[in-house]
Amino acid sequence: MGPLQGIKVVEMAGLAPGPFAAMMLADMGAQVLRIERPGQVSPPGHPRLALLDRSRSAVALDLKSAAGLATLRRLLNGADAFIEGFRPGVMERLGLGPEPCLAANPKLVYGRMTGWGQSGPLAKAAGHDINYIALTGALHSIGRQGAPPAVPLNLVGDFGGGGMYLAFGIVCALLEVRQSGQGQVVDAAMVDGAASLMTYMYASHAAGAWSDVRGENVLDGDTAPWYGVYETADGQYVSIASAEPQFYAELLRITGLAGGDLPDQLDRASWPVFRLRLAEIFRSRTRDAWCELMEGSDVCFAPVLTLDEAMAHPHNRARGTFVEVAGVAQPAPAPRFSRTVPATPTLPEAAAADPTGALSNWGFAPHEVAALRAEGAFGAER
Amino acid sequence: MQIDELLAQDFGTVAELIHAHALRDAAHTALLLDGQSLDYAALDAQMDRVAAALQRDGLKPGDVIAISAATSLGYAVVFLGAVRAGVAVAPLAPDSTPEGLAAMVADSGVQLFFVDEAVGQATAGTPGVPRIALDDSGVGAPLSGWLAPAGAQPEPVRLQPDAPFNIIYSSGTTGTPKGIMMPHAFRWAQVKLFTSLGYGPDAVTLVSIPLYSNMTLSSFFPALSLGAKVVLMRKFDAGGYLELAQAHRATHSMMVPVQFQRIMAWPDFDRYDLSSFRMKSCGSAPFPVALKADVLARWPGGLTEYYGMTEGGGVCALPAHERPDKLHTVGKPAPGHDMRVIDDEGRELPRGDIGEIVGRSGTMMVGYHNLPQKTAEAEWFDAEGRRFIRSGDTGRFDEDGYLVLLDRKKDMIISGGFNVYPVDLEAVLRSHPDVDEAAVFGVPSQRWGESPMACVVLREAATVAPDALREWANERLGKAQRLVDLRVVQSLPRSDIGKVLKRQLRNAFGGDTFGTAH
Repeated sequence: MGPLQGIKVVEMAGLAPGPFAAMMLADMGAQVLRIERPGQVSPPGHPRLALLDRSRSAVALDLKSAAGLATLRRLLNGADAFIEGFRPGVMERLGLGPEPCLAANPKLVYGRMTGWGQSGPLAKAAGHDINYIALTGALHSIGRQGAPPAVPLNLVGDFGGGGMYLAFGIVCALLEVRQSGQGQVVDAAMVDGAASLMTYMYASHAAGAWSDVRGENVLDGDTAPWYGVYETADGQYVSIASAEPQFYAELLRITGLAGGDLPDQLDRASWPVFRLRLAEIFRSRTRDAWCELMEGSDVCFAPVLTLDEAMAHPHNRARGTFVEVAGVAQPAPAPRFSRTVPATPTLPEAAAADPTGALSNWGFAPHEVAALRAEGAFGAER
Repeated sequence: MQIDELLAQDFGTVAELIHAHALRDAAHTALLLDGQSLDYAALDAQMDRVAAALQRDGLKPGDVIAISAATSLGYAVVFLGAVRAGVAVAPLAPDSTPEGLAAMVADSGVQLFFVDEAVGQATAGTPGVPRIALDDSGVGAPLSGWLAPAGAQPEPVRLQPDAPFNIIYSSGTTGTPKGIMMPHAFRWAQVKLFTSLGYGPDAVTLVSIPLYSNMTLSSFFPALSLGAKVVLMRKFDAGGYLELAQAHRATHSMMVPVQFQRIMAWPDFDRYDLSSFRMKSCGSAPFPVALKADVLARWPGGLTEYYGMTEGGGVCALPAHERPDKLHTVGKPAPGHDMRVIDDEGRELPRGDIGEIVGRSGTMMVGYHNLPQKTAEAEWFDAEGRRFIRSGDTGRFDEDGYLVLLDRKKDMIISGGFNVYPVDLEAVLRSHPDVDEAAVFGVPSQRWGESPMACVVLREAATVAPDALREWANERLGKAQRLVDLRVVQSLPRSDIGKVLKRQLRNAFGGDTFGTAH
């Protein structure tokens, strides 16, 4: 059982970062209840495919009804943490902003997920992942020389800078509750998180070791021949990161370049030409052939795998990096724990027509649920 | 109705009898656990509140609830209240895996699931039916808020003898748990059987195994039905048991052989005053002869060994204190219990022949829940078409009608065409001074089909080497019985009620040694 077993979390259904944070907590064993709107099907499709919603149950509440609001209030009174991702002010207008919630449950950790943050001139504006990371220098910095910025999926804003920081913030605040007995608001903004993820680049920049021109830095993958992605004979790709001298020597040995007339590894002037030479060499064999020569060596090498290939790779299989739940392969909970091992994820429970089961885990007796239903807490009778 | 009149009926219910005791002697202690107690009037009132709450939630006679929790007064009250409402109870082992619990909950069609904090935590996030937290912890609706208000009266229900009382999931020494459906008539017959053991209002019975075990329930319901004081133990340990037995002047106790073994081995055993004991009962696993003799010699009061199954059928009883010459048997069929021996083709065998034991009595399961095929496999019908339950055990009746048990049919080893009974080999191994416990099981053999292998637990300070012990045993065994391998282990894997899990041993060692097992 995961390390967060016994922690109870209420999650307002949302998109991407909020559910991702809730998934991380549920993966670690927290008991999470997702609150949906009556009639909302989130997300569409079979529940076994709703991987971000895994390992938790759901209840549909009509927050336009007094009984629905009272139900949510009672849930928050019994919760350790709360996750909401509405625009600033929405929860306040429901009468469920941090102040009344923390007054009723002083230990509550009130987690708020937004792009811009709870304050600042842009706080009320709409936006999505690339808008937020555009504001942090992250989007500008990723891509090739002379080309427009490359969009790194929504990994940097929604998931890395957003959901992950919210989950981290919630766990930090939960630890602090043990000392102080007091909850607090966690304001997780994707702008803050993405900027935080850029700390190393800002540090290098301040030290004069980082060019603000896209594609001029080694980590861009577009400059040093020993750090980047190369196409292979079969139109696939391999990744090479032979930065240290001993690893670079291994790259030269296996590519057959060792002993020849070669420029110094750090001679920038020679890089463009040498890069072309390496590209030609990598194009001479298929990806699988390079794997046979380099995989597991000290070149610092890995084949660039598709999603399907990643799930089948022997290393990932050996470690159980992906697990199968109801026939759907998916990333396993991460990271790993030596003692309190997280359980295999379970299918998300859709908000059932009868919420009695899900609400009983939050202390609601069946007759109390029946009364709330009669008052319209769960929407009109379906 | 008076208690005697109730007991004289062909059929009645446990709940009625408890009510009658509450009317007769309201303040008499019914249940006691860790200093908390309920007298008969309080128990009766709590049962009413449970039954009324179940009815309020729409449960009808024949519906099912499950309980999975450590022993508590709440556990007992919910079970008994459900019985009053005619709602069947599935008591589930709290240390089952979350997947196992979910499977049993789904199989039994449970409408409410009563848990404690530990089970609730372990099963958090599994899809499920409404949960009630017996300990008012946050893992379900708190029991205190779920109960109907004090003074609530349930609608009376009329129950037929075949109405379901409980569904017991077998402890699974032989595979996937099966839900054994027991009717009210089953428990009523047990109440009547226990009147002969001297249970009554002056009896104090010590219940030291978990309440989900049929072994416990078989004495728990009769004891309360007959007005006894029931002292519950949350978790068994020999020292704690002896303290409680002495302090409460226990008169009765039903336990499994490993418990007797641990109690008799307790260093201070002889310092305890156990003179209040009238009868100890034992069952559910083989009871070594030497241990029975030790109990008879050093523990006051009688000792009755029972042989039977959760599925019911026939029960044998051995009053060991009356027949010390029959300790190698499990006794004679209880009054009204018809037991026979059949061969592999289902033909009845003459008395004295070895075969599978089948039985018929007032204590018979209705069947396995949702498993008509398995139910049919567990039944045998005699020439007159009367239904018997098959035991899966092999044995024979001696010339005096006492049953000598050989082995679980499934555990029997067939080596080169010979039937090898693990108990025989275990007895030889146990006779070695260095051996504390032994388990023998079959492993695949290219030459013989199957061969016996042993796992033994050595006594402290034992010096014998495994190979030497195997040779020592083989010198004393028949050719087909000879052990191909012997391993020394720290302990034997046991189910909660003390049965050695031979399947685990087979899985652990069978493949290792021969590479072709499973």
